[in-house]
Amino acid sequence: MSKVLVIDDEAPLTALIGRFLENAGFKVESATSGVEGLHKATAIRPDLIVLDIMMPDIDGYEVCRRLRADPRTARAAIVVLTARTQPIDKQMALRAGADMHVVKPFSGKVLVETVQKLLAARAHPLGHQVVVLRLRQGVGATTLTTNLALALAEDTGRLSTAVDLVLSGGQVGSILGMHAERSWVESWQGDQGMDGLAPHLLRHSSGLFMLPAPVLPPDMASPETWRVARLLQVVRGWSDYVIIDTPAALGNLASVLLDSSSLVLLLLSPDDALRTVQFTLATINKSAPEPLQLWPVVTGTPAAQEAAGRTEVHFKEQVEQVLGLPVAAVLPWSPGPQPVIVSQPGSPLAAAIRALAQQVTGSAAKSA
Amino acid sequence: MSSVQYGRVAQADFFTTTHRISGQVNTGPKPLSDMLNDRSLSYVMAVNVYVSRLSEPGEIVAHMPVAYLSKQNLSFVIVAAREARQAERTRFSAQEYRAVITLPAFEITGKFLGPLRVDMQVFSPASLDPFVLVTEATAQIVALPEVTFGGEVILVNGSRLESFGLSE
Repeated sequence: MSKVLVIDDEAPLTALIGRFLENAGFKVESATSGVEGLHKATAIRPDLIVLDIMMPDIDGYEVCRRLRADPRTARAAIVVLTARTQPIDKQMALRAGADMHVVKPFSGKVLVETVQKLLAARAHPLGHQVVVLRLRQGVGATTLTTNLALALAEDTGRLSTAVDLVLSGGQVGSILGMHAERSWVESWQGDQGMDGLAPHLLRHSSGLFMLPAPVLPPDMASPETWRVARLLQVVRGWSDYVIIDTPAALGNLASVLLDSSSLVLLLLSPDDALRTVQFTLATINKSAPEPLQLWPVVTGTPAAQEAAGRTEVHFKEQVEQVLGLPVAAVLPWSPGPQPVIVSQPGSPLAAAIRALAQQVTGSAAKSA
Repeated sequence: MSSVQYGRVAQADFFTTTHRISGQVNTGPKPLSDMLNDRSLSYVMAVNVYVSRLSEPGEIVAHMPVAYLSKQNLSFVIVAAREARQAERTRFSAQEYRAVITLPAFEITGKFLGPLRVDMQVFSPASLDPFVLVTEATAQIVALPEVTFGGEVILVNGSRLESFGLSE
């Protein structure tokens, strides 16, 4: 039986909501202040929290932020129930970490349906999210993202989605030969869930789904961080594998990506200075709430190709020595971005990426 | 929000040139618009009041169990339709116009129910109730035009008007 915690300082309303939810088969606890709500949430670990915003001790937005910041309560679904009905209020609630914003006065039927829908979505295990990091442009991160996603879609038969978060000039769509007129950045506001996102997902003939980067000038293609976090949450709730291409400079996206990803692939080439990489890794690890599962991946260069792969092998050893992490894959250099999994399935690059995809599925199975 | 309530309680968003004030008003048997238009009252008493600054209109910066709101300093009030007494549709007030209103710090657009034919030589906002009723209305903060407030009804303080434009 799912546990629901109702936090509202209006006791009669709390009792009424409790009755609606108990009649629908939920186990309900209640709290009549923000402070009491936070204490009860950590004690009983509810599956879902119905949260008022206007409360005298701590307002609901702050309660929501604290619930999300505490690992014991961070995964609970949160429905904000409030008389603050303006668009800015909904935005505030979603930004604070709420999943849904329901306005007062409300119908018991709508509230129960909302709770049921959210809990059903949570019952589905979240997809395995892999983020491809690069420290500079031109190392083949987009090629790796696209082909890893293709390999996962083809080889596992599971739902795989490539998300292009290189929001200015992303190339995943170009590699796959697919383009969207409008992107999610322009019209998806975070509260429409998968229904609102579906029109922006493109399906490749391999079965891979792709969420392309917007075709917008850079200053217009910067969605708020909370909207990106919500986007990834929705895509993970739907897709078994989510592979994300990221810009070299993560900026505000860093915390969102590192908090939510199951695996980070750090793409390095022999031209990267390992001391800098070491420093970057230390910074990344310091900002991550939990130890990251980080796999270095070494990619080749034209010069390395001339040396018949010896440079990559030498660099791989250096990476393992300096970073203290095993290299997950060595990818041979490839001229220009190509969907090699479908266009050159017999190539060494395709074989290396398929082997990496197998490791990713193994890691997903372990974490499940 | 907690309160002991007797009689009719209206939830409303009150806007001044600097703040957004959300609260509940006990209006007795009448809609809130009657209380706002009652020239014998200078203040409205609200309970469970939550205050936001217009610069961050979603953030709550203060809570007060009770607050008195000076009617003359309110720019406008957003309420549910039931909290506004609608003008009766007679042959003298039967035409819906598109209204564009500017106030210090705000722009408001919506629908205004006025006379069948507005003669601008005769018609004046001064002839209306102190709080002018605009339906299907949207208010924008001039300094933050991306932030909009909407509601079934916006009651605009006539004494704060900078301009009041009507078009068919």
